[in-house]
Order: sequence, then structure tokens, then C-alpha cells
Amino acid sequence: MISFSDLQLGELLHDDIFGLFEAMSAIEMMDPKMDAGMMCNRGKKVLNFDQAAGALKLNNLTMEELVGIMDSMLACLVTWLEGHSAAQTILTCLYLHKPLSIEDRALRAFSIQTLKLIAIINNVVHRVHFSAGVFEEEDFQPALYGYGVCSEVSEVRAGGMMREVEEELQRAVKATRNRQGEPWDPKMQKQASDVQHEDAVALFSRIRFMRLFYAALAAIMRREPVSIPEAERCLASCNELVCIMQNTIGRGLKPKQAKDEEGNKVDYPVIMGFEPLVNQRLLPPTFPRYTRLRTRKEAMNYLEEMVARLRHITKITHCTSFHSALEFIENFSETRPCVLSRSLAQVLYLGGEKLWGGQAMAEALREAARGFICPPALLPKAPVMNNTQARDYVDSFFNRCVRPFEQLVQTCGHNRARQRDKVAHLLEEFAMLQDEADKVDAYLHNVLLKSDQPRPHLAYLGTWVLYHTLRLMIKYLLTGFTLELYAVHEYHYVYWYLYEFVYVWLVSALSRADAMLLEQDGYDTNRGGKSGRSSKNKNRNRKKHRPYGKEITYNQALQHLCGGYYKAMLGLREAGKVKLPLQEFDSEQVRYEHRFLPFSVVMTPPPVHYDQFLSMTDLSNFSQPVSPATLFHDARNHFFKARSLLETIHAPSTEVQQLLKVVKTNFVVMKLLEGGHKADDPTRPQFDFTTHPCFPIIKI
Amino acid sequence: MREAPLRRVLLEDLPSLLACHTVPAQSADLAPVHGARARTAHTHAHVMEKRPAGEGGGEGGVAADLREKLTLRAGVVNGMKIGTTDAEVHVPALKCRPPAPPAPPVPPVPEEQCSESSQESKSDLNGAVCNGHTVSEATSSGSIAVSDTFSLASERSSDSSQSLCGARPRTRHTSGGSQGTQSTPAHDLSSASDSLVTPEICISPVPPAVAVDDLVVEYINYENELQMSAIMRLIQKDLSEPYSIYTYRYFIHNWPKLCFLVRSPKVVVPLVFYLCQMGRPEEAVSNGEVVGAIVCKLDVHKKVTVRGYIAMLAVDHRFRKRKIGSNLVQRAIRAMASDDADEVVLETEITNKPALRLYENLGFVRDKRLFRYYLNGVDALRLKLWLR
Repeated sequence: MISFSDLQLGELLHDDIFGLFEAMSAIEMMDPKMDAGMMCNRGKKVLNFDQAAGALKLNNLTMEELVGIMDSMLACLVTWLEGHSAAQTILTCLYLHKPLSIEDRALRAFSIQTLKLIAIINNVVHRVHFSAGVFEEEDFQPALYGYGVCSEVSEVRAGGMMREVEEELQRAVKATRNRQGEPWDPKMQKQASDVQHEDAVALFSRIRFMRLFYAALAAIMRREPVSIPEAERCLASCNELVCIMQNTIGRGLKPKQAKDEEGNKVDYPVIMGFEPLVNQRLLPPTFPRYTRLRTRKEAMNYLEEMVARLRHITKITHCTSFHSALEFIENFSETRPCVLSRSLAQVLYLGGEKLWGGQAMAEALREAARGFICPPALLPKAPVMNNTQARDYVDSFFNRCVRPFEQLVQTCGHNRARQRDKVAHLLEEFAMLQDEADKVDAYLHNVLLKSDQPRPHLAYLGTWVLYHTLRLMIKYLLTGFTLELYAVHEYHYVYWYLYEFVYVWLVSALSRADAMLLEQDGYDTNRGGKSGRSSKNKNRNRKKHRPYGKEITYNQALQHLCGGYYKAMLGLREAGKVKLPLQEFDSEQVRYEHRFLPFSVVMTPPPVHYDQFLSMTDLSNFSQPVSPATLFHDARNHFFKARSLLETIHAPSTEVQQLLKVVKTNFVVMKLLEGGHKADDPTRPQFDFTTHPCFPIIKI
Repeated sequence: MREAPLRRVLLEDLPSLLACHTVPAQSADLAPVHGARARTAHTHAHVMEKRPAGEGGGEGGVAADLREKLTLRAGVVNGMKIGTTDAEVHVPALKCRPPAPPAPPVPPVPEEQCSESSQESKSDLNGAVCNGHTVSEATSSGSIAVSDTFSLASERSSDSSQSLCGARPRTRHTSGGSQGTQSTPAHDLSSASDSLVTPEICISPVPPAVAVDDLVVEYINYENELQMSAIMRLIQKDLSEPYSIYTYRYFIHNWPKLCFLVRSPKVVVPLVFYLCQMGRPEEAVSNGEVVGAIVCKLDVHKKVTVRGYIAMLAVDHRFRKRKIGSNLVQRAIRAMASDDADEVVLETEITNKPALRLYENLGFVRDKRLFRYYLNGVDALRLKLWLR
């Protein structure tokens, strides 16, 4: 052992096992900023359920108290659902520690039901599709710190208790309302009976909401065809009940405001039954982590939105194909949903062994590929399927597809920040899948050419996989915008990549699929003509004209939009209106290579290297010297083309309308820039992403 | 005395004025005006205001004397050029008064300093300022050359320590702090000349030599444990999450070469004295105080990349907007690069626009968004600079 005097100034004994984690977790004891235990030693004493015995009313609670306690519980629940620790939110409610000791029937039933709700939510979020949940530590904290969820009472019994209380309250509601034989009128002077009635309504709505909300979750989790309409009914009622609850927040007991700001920061005003610091010692011994609870009003609004989200996700059961389900989940993810609804969507669709609708994933994917491009080998009764080896190949290909496509669906269930990382990994999977698809295509091609009805089988499955790969690439690049990851001086190469490659490839993949489907239709018509069903088929043929027409137009428009941005950014750079980083450490090449690094594993489309980027974008390639004005002119043309394409889309979606607004504005801005407007103004242009998260309006 | 409350407000922000000026004023109502312009304008305003009161004798003279120094100091913050412009601008007004004999320092003095005063009073102040600005320009533009010599003379004679300070750091300026000021003047100067509408003022030849560099800070490497408490004090002031001393030691003892500090200059005594007089000793910068620090580490990440990590960066609020942070980061990056770092990373709140700007200007890229990374629920961004 070295003694103190042996050390020089600044020398420290340092054990190897004392790393960053230990250093960061170390606290200075007694420092209230760090020592979590110190929080409990200041101010008033923190009581648990047993210690609070006298002060905690277990019976004869007033209506006001009941409503207040329930609303506070809901506020805690909502805060927990937003990713905070249960110890600092829902478990600060002492009533939930020993619900069976509560004598008041309404509060007891409500407390038990709340615990059951916590359990089922944990179950939903935690257990989505076996082990792979769609939550991360920042989304959700399932730990309950050893508190039980009242397993003594079965779920059925808990529901029964709620129903009993509910019926009782319903009688009270009716009794108070019907006394005067007329509907309750808020404008009338409040009589004792009105107050009673209002209280009864407030309490009744909360009890009923809790019961139905739980029932809805339970029904969804059952994943049976009959349980979904049941869940929808429950949620519809919940929706109405939340409105009543929102209107009756005022009936609840409110916490007294603390007299002054002294004491602990955590010591926010609470009502009976809530003890913010009761679990403080259960938390890790690092500094205290304050959790600001949602207000009751915020909590009610959250519940309202959550009910709406859950009602929306039950609609995934109407999706009949893999592609439509995938699109549903992708679109739902755009709305930045909460972890519970995200997880439920996954449970519903991916669920247990089979997808919703009872199909196995491999089967659904086979159907998806058939629907997408109609590979001859996948036609019903395709002769090639009599070839055992060909059949094996095809089967094993689709089995091979299961895992990546499952991951694809799951990726869309994660929070948006995590999705980007997962997309990068998925691209690797899809690159391997692409390889496999090409091999199977080649094999089938050979077999089919030798068959009695020779038909080519080139790049059918390959195109299908390519389509998904390209969409992933687009997603990867565009989420960079939605997550605000790109600096202005990076816009040009991102948009360039999209414009020159990704969208071009996507349009060509779609065009091929389009052509193949039409060709297949042609085969069908020919054969149909022989059997005398030509008129029927002609109708269908006309209707199915260019099945991907809309999608192709849309993507072509986006391609031009990106082209417009690329040219605009180039013009702005040339005009000196883009601030570039200091030279010393910055290298555009290094930035470029890292930004597109996930694409390097993909063989189709091949990655575009930086030197290619340089040679393709070198302005000296042009015959005449390029001025910013010519670049703005080009940009304007691109925006114009994008606009004319978007305008041909029939029944435009909200997104298309947003894009139209963007292209129209940018068109005008480019015109101004081209005319030299503000050419000498050194202020830099602004990029306004409020209209569309990926395609900004340029402001000068 | 309508002036009194105004003055108080103004004085309150003296330090922030000293600290931040290279970038246009942060507050909304000052936004259209450049920081430099606001400051010079104030100078005029208060000179105008003072004139009737100060006519009488000693008080005004002292005021002038002290103000002069303080203005110089304030100007200095921006680098040489600004300092001199400032001097030019405010001195003419001064000149109209006969230099008074030095008197004991009295409080009612250098309010003209403060441009970025606290929010509410700012708007009406600005009104006054504009008037003052134009008027004083009108009265003063005639005799600038004279006033300059006057100011220099008075500078030298009135306080020898002042000129000493001026002379000494100059050498330092070229060596250590040069980056700190080099990039700013170009920007600042243009706006300053913008603000000074009368061309005579801008072109007047002013020797930039005097007392200009006295706020040049000194960049040093971490030396020993004795600096630890100063570092902790500085960083804890700004960080929401308290770190224990072990966290600091973990970084600094393991990678002492990656810890850089900024020391405040040997400071003008009168200012310290003045602030102490005003009962605001905490704003005075004592000699060689640590006013900026960067704490980093460098180790192998996932067994392949040598990853530098910027753990903490803090600059005393009185010294912000002077590129000190950027210089510290650059020093740290250079040190890491010379130790074969492949990349440098750090995390910052998505709402911390100044930090994001600082790092982006150095070529950092926003690599990832970290959802609800901080305890307050704010998202973070992982910034990364690839060195190869």
C-alpha cells in the first residue's frame, strides 16, 4: 500500500476496474444534487402505505377525492407510458401498493384494474413477437421494482369488481338525473342533486373507461377475428368516455399549491395517496432523476389520442396483402405513435406463429411477389412447379425471405431515431436476398426456356427484392432529413444521389413490374379468348391499365424534385451562399463516403463512389461555363417537371398536395434567384421543412 | 433621477458584454442591430445624457476616464479592430469636455458599456440609443484626429498599468490567442463600419496599439490536480447533470494531454476594482482564472476505430462568442489526430444551436439522433468528425 506521502501532486491510485461507468456512477455522499438518499431526508417525512395508515383514507372517501385520485393515477400512468420509470410515476401511488387493503369498493376495483392494465401493457410492449420488441430503453421502462400486480385477484374477477361498481354508479347517475324528469342542464342553477349527478357521472366514466380500455387491450391481444370488433366497440365507448372525463377533471380534488418554493424539487404538490419519493431508494444510487408528471389535462388528452391510435391500428386487420400491411405500418410510423400502439400493431400483424389472417409469412410473401410482378413460376398450376428442384428452390427462397421481411415490418415499429440504424442493417440482409433471388430467377429461366411453353424468367424475383431494397435506401436517406441530420452543405450530394440513382432505379423497377403485369395480362387474355371469356377479361384489362402508373408518376416527380434541389444547392454554393466548414478537418469525400456507407453492401444498385460523384458533377464538364443563374434555371425546370407530374396524379393525397406547395414555391424562388434577386445579399438561404419533412421550401 | 434604474440594468450586463460580441446580439429586440453597433450607440447615448449632469466637475471627468478604459476593454473583446473603432467613436464626444482631475471612483459611471442589457429595459433603451447615436455623430465627426491623440494620451498618463497591459499581451496575441480573434474581426469590422454611418469615423487613422490586446486569453494544457477544482467549477456551472469528481478524474487523469484550458488574461485592475466597488465581485475576472476547458478521451471503439470523445466543453459566459470554444475543440482534435484518432464524437442536445453551429463549422456531421437521450427528455444528436 502506498502511503499518502509517496504520491506526487496530482498522482492518484487508480484501479483498473474503476472505469467510466464507475466514475459516472460514483456520487459524493450527502450532496443533495447527487445523493438520491438525501432527497428523502429533507423536508417532510416520506411515508409508505403502512406508515401512512391514519392519513391515508381507506374508506368513506368523498367523490371529489375519488375522482382526484383516479385522475392522478391516470396522469402517472401516462407519464410512465411516455418512457419514465414506474417507480417515479405510477408506483408513487400508495393505493397501488396494497389495493386489497382499500375498503372503498370503487377505489379498490379501480386500483386493481390499474395494476392489471400495467401488467397487460408490460406484456404487450415487452413480448411483442417473441423476444424482439419494438421498444428501446428510451421508449419504455417495464421494471416494476418488485411491486406485484395483485395476482391474488384474477383478471376476470377484477373485471367483475369493476362492473359491479359501474352498475352501482350507473344507478346513481340515473337516480340523480331522473329525479326531475329532464336531462341535466349545465346552465341551470346548481342544486345539490346536480352536483351529485355530476360527481356520479365523473366517477362512472372513469371506472367504465378503465374497464373498457383494459378489455380492448385484452381483446386485441387475443388476435381472434371476433375479438377485433369487440375491441373496436370498447374503444369507441372509451373515446366517448374520455370526453366526459376531460369535462369533469374539475370535479377531482386538486393538490394544494406549496406555499413557497422551498424544499425538494421533486416535492411537487400532491393529493392524498401519492408520495413522489416513496421509491427513491429503489432507484440506482446515482443522482436523482426528476420526473415531471403530466398534468391531468395533458393525461386526458394523451388518453384521447391513444384511444384514437388504437382504433386506427385495429384497421390493420383489413389489410389483405403483405404490401398493404407494410404500407399501413409505415404510414402509421410517420405519425410518431406511442410505444403501446406501435407494439400493438406489431402484435396484431406479426403476432404468434402466423400473420393476421392465418397466413404464414412465407406464404404471404409468395403472394406479395406474385401480386407485384407476377413471376410465371408463381402462377397457380405453373408447369415449372412440377419440377421438384425448381419448386424446392422457390420454396426455400421464400423461407429465406421470412426473416428479413419480418425485420422490415418490425423496423417500422421502432421509434424513428432507431429506424435509421436498423435500415442500415436491413440493407445487408436484402443485399443477400437479392443475390439469392437472382440465382433462383436464373435457374427458373433455364428451366422455363426448355419447357414446352418456353417463356423467359429474367429478374422477376430480383425486381421484387430490388423494389424493397430501393425503398429502404430512400427511407435511409430521407430519414436523415426528418431527423435533422444533414447540414446545409451536405444537401447537394444527398439529393444528387436520390436524383441520379435511387429514384431512377425505383422508377425502372416499377416500370418493369408494370410491363410484366401487363404482359401476363396479355397471356391471360389470349388464353381466355380461346375459352370464350374474352369480353370479361377485356374489361379487367382496361381497368388494370398500368397498375403502377400512379406510383411511377409519383416517384418520377420526386426524382425531379431531388434534381431541382441538387441544382439549386449547386447554384447556391457557386453563388457563395452556403457556408462551408473550416478546411482543416473537413473533407467532403470522407463525409460523402460515410453518409452512403450502408449502401456499399448493396450490389444492385451498385454503390456510387465519391470520384464518380465528382466526375459526374464537375461543372467543367459543361461546354459553356456554368453560372449560378444557369443552375437555378435547371433547378427551376426540374421543379416545373415535378409539378406537372404531381398535377397528373388523380385524387392527390395530403402528401402530394404538400409536395405541390413545395415545388410551386421553390419554382418561384428559383426564378427569382435566376433573375439575380438578392444576388449581392450575403444572407444565407433558409430551408423550411414545416410543409414537408424531407423536401424544404427554400427561402431567400 | 430617471437615470438610476437604467444604469443599474445596464451595469448588470457588463460582464456579458465583455464576454459575447462577435456574433450579432442574441436577443430579439437587438437582433436587427449588430452587437457592435448597439454598443457604440450606447456609448453615444450616455455621453449625451451625461453631458448636462457632468458639466459641473469631478464626477463627469472620472466618468469619462473610467468609461474610456472600460470601453476600450469592451472593444478589445472583439479583437483589435473593434476596440479601436470604439475608441474613435466615443472619444469625440468626450473631448468636448475639459479633462477633469481624477477623483475617487464614484458609482455613476460606465453605463455606456453595456449593449446587451436585460430584456425588458432594452427596448426603451434602444430608442434612446438611436437618438444619441445620431446626435453625437453630428456633433463629433469634425475633430476625430485630435480626439484620438487625446484619448491615447489620457490613456497612457492616467493609468500606467493600463498601458502595460496593453503592451504585454500583444506578444501573446500573436502566439496563443491569435486564432481567437483573427477570424472575428473581418466579420465584426464590416458590421461595425456598417453601423458607423459617417465615413470620417471609419477612415480616421487610429494606432491600434494601446491596451487593445489585454483581454487575449491564454490556451494551456492541463498541468496538475491544482487546476481540477477550477475546471469543475467552470463546467458545473453550465451542465445540467452534476458529475462527481471521479468523472473528471477519469477523463483528465487518463488523458491529460487531451484536456485544454483557457486562462483569462492578466486583467485590468480598475475594472476589477470597479466591479468590487459595485458589490459585484463575482463578475470580476481574477488573474489567470480558468474561463474555458475541454475534456476528452481517446480509446479504441469496437476493437477497430480509434475514437476520440469530447466529454465536456465549457466557456465562461463572460468570454463567449470569441471562438474560444472552437479553438479549444480544434486543439483537442489536433491532439487526438496526432494520436491516430480515426474519428471524434460527442453528444449534444438538439436544442443547443450554438454548439451545433460550432461543431458543424469544424466539419462535424450529425451522425445519429438519440431519442430522449437526456434526463430532461430532450433528444440528443451524436456528432462525428471522421478524420479518415
